[in-house]
Amino acid sequence: MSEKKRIRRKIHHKGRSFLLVLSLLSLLVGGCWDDRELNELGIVSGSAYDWEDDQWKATYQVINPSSGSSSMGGSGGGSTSSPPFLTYTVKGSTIIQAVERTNLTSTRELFFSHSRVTVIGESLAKQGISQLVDLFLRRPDARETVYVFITEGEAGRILDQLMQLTKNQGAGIQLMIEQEAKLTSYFPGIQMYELAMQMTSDSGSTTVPEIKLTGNRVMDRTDDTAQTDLPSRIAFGRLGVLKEDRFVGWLSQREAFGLSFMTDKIKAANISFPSIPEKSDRDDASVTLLHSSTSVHPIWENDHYVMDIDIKAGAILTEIGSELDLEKASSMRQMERSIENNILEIIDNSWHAVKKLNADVTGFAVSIHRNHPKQWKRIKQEGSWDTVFQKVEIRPHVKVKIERIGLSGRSYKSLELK
Amino acid sequence: MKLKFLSNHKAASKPETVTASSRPLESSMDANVAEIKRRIGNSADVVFRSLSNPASGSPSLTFIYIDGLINADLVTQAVIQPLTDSQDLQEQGMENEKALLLIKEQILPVGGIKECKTVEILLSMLFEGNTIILLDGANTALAANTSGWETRSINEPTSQGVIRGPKEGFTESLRTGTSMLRRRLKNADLRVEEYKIGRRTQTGIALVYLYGIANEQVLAEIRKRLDAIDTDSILESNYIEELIEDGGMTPFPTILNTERPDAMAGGILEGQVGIIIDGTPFALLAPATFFSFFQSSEDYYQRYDISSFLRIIRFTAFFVSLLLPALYIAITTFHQEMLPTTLLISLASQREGIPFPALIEALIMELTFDVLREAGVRMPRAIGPAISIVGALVLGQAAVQAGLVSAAMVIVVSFTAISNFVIPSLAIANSIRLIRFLMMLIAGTMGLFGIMSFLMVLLIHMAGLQSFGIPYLSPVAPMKPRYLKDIILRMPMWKMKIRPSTYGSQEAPRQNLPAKEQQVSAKQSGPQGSENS
Amino acid sequence: MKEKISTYQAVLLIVSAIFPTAIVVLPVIIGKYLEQDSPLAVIFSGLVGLGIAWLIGSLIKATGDAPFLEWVGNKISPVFAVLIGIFLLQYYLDLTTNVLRVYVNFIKENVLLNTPTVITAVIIMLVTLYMINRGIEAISRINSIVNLMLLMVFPLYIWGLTKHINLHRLLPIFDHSAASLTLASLTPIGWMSEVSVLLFIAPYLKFPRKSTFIGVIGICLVTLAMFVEIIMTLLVFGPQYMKNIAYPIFSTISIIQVGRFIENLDVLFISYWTMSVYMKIAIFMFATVQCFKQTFRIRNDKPYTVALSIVVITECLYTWREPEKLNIFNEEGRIIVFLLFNILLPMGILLWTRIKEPVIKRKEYKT
Repeated sequence: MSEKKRIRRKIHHKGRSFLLVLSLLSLLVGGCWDDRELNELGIVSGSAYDWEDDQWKATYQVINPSSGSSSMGGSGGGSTSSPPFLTYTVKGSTIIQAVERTNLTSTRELFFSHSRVTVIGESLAKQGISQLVDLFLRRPDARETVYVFITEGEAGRILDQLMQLTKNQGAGIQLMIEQEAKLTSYFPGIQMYELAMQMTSDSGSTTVPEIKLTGNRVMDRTDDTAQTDLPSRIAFGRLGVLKEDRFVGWLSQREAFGLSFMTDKIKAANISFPSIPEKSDRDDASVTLLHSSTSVHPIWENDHYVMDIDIKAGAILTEIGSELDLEKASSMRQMERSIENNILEIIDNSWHAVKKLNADVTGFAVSIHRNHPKQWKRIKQEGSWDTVFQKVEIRPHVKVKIERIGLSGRSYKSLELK
Repeated sequence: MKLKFLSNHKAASKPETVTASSRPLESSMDANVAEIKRRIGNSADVVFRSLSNPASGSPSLTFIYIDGLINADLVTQAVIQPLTDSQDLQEQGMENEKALLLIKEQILPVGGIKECKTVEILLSMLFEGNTIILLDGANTALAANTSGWETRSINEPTSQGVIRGPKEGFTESLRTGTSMLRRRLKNADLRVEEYKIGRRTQTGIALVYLYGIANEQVLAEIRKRLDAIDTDSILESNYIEELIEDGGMTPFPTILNTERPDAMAGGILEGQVGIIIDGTPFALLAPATFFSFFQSSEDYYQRYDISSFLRIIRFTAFFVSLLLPALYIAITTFHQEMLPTTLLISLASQREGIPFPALIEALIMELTFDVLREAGVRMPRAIGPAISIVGALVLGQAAVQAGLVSAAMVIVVSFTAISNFVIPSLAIANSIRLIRFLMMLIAGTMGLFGIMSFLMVLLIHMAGLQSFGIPYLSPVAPMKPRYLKDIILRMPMWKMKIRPSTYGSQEAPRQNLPAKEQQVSAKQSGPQGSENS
Repeated sequence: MKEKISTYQAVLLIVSAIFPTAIVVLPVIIGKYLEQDSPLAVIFSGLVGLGIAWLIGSLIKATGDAPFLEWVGNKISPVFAVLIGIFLLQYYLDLTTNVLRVYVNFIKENVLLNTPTVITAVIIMLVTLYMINRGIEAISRINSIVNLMLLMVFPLYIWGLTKHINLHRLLPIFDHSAASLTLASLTPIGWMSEVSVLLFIAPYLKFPRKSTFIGVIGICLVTLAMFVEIIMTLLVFGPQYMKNIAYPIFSTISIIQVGRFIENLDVLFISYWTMSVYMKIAIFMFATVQCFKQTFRIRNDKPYTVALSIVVITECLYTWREPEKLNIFNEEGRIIVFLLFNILLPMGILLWTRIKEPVIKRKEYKT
């Protein structure tokens, strides 16, 4: 009896194991449709797009693994003479066509998942970049977290430039912009998905930092980097403004700074100001903002919106060139006033520039939608946001508190005078 | 196939044994001796020695023993000398049943004396090291227990060493094994049931358990399966393991083997049933769950914090050993976007110029390691260092320098190999050795999706497994949160107050709960322990 | 010694029966109508779901320990039971196919771009078959492990996204009409109604009487998880952008960055999700087989299981070949089917027996 049962059980299990084996086999027979070996991949670290002769002109920066660009060194594989990356420039009527053509000239299949930066040429930005954004959101291997930059002139040039200290230029630029956003907050770096979010938001406008070369020459030879002071380096310049998906103009660094205040993008910033405004207008002190928060409240006044911008910040004194007595509360108040005025001026400055461009990069539309949904619906129906925006008035209030004065209790100048 | 063969064999051999087993001894000593000689053949190690009756001068008493299985001193002092010296016997004569009774009850100063009525019993007593005494005119033989053979002394277990803890391991002797358990569990509830399995080997097997703690159903099942075994030989515990473990094709062991008496005592205390097999130091513990293979007896000999840490390390090592090469293949050939850029570039630069795809590279390296490992077990001690130098240098460094494999792959494979040895039980470590290859193949064809699908199959396979009715993944699946104290982490002793019923035993307090101290200790003296509280 | 499914395992089975496919498309479907008010739809559909759970629970209570269709056969009429069985079979086949198709599409679009769909479909089905073969008990055990992993994954998810959260993205609330709320809730209600799969799991439960409890807690958990998901998506992406991406949950995950080292976590989440979809597909395939078994009163279902899975694969490959069709069905067609089979049918049967029961009892009393 039990023997029979055992046999039946065995047969039963045979069925199961057969299923198991079958499933495994089919997995294996499945073959490999999707595998790509590492040495068949052209790892793209950055891409640049221009518009030329009614065509896309795409430049791809492909990492050259054998040059040891991971800066890991050691393994001795890489010769220093080969460049850490190569660039391919191709034209096509669509972006994918350009990619295809790159594959015609390259030994390796382009792989975009590790792309860090995308540089858009001004020519393309004027033409509209929605197609590009769409590509980034659509392709599974294109990551939405690339940083977007805009450049005056040809975008492809930027990617040819070699960097010092970092061999992988794309990652280097990413480091630069992240550093920048953390330390100075002039241009909050914008990633592709943020760009898409802002372009689809109620304001429909966005800002993209400018990337440029400080000199005229492109340092694209490996022996070029063998000097301490490169004549031409990669740097951030101004802030490009896009309305809908088109480039409409630039904001200077100072104007961009004001915009950061209005849009609550300040993480840390340095502000220079005259410590004793009644004595001289010259900036002779600076503080680092440790934290800052901005809240925007739209108020409907008669026939236009007034944006009530409330900025609260805390700062640490980092430098002072006057004999101000730091121990007195009144002098601290005095400095705080001076900083606040400074910020107000920056904001005002920036607001004028923004208004002139007539692009709602401040995100006022969003805050009006959030706070006055009914009015917003009307504005939207009428499609009158542009005119409403022109009439918007801002009413900034700044409150800065110097929280710490650093390690030295008095200004050095005041010691000197004694 | 195998089963059919077995049952055929059984049918063929049964009648033979039936007729043979019923041959009684005759009263003529010469006839008996002749029959025994016919049965044993001309074996050199069987000693026949006759004593003659001083009265008649003809041989009337024969000792038979097997040289090497008996203690020669004991035979001389306790069997031969008393018989030759005995005045009573001289007077009485050596011929008949009376003399037999006299010898059995008065003359022989030996612990165990048994009577044998048939040739078969006689033979089996003979093979166990007894000295057989045949008397002329008696159709009963006496078997005096004089067994004593060379055994290995108790040594430190070689496959399951610990730093702190008892250093003794089971030996090949069954009796030593049971005695070690008795010494650890001085409790009337410790039961030892013995079986003889294997038609030709007649291997002694002891079922050791704590009455009242081991689950009766589990016990009954084990007994049933042991009884159902019909084979000619049992030479090692794996014979039993394969014959009684729950059926089905599974790479996972469902019976635990151990060399350590302390580990076995621990298992028995939790309700497992120990099976000790004569002739091998590896004893079995059943039922076993997946997680019991990750518990080492040392976990309880050192502080709980470090034990818990080590447990986590073991589980991690298990997953590393199972998945690392597969993940490496999947990530480097399918999901390169997962890697941090710098790592990707450094891997890519290593792969420049490697002629094989990652899958093949990994398979080659894994196979190489398995070859090395097997060589390590087989090779003579003296040339061991030479092989390891060749293995490490030639295969590791030179292969990388020659550009045949990438350095990262060597790291992956060696880390995988080392991880495999972190798992305390070799049985489960070996089972994933094979699964790993499948995993790599699947990873190489379908990437992470393949790995996840295969993991799903493995998981569901394990969830459906049973070891003597106990779900293999318990107490995690099905989840019993109360019993998780000794699974992933090893909780402090004072936290583990309850004996989990993971192995089917009744849940019961292991330590006296302070409030009920009196009550519980009173109950613990009962056979069932303190189940009800 | 087959252990039955404990109550908490059953709750998690319900979670797995609803959540895995919902999680992928939920924000897109609701967001289209409700934008920043989407969480409301989740809550609303959760409430309706509770009602459905209660309905299914009381139906199971009425059946006692008997399998559902057998019970219907005894109570109403065998012909009716077979008829219902065939309809339900068709429904469950469709549902399984649908899940399979969503799964296959996802794999095709995100993970294995070039692998033929046939291969993925066959592999998924083979794994599913093996799972069913091991029994619903084994499935439910693994299912609880998979779901417990979710408990670990969720905090990671929320923690990873805190940097990107902007609370203002939820404003203004109550910006949309009741009509769009209803429209947006329809699909989620459809998902919630999948709780009716309990009807076929009930005979395997340790305590079938607790079905209402199981359903209600299950729905609550699902609602909670969906709520968290949609809130997180909204907080991170804002309503407009959310509508435009195909798989918002994975997009949110893909922007998580821990230090400079850990990024592109989406593949890990996809792997996790893979497991939970396996659970879902196994549960519905199991229900399909059960339904088949009960309808045609079959003892040994093994050969039919294979046949059914072949039907599922072919239906998956040929009927739902165009993604637009699937989308349209997912958004519009499904809800009617769901309403019909998960709400109206059980309700009808329950009412029928309630009305009939007193009559029978009275008769019994008389004789």
